Amino acid sequence: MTSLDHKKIVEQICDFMGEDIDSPACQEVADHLKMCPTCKVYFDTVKKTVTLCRDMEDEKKMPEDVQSRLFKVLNLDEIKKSKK
Amino acid sequence: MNEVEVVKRAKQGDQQAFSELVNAYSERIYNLGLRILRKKEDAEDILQETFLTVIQKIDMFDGRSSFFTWIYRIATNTALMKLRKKKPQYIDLPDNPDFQESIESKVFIDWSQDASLNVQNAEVKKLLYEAIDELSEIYKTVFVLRDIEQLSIKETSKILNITEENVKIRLRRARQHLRDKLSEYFSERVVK
Repeated sequence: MTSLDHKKIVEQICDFMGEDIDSPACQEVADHLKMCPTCKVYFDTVKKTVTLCRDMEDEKKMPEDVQSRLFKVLNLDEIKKSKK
Repeated sequence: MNEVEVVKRAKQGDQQAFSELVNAYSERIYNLGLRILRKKEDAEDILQETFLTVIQKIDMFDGRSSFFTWIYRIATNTALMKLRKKKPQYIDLPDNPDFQESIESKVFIDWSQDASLNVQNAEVKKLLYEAIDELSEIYKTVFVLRDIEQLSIKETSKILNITEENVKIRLRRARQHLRDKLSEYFSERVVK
């Protein structure tokens, strides 16, 4: 494995983790990850990083008073009241 | 909700239709603001400014993009304007980052299975929030839209008006920066 190959794989991991999962390039990355511990660790740690960021941003509920103030600012509060 | 129909009614000034659009999108816009600006008051400002802009400019919405893309673009731009006013200190991610150096010098420790790396760990949470805030706006917006909001690369490129290739490059650099921060944290812990 040359360092150039590593570099190319690292660039492709972005696509692999997100989209185009069936593309030939992604298949190439998947095959490579099975054989290369270095790139596999890189892939796993990037994936873990993204998962952690996603988890900590989860469960943000907008407070109800924010919604009420929004309707008021937009002059839509009468409509909201009439729907209740 | 038939969104195309609702938007059509909103363009004709139907307040009920605007109300439906607010109900459909307010929570997502609020969360987007919170994720970019990090403060509840700022997120509320972005929410209000976004919908005020929608009401003012809905005539200009021509349906070439989806309404979702259009409102997200307004919200993202509003958030970015607010972010710029705060003049945060960004870390400089080089235009041509040397991935080779990173992968060959740091990647060998596999901390991905370490049980202490979770969002209940306050130290990890703080570190990640700080690392995200170090990203300059071009990286932060791509990271928030793609990895946190989980929009597609195509949607992200349309909202930010950049190419899909550019989204991928920015995403790669943002992820690299955050991963490296966790790697540093893990290495320091091992040394201690």
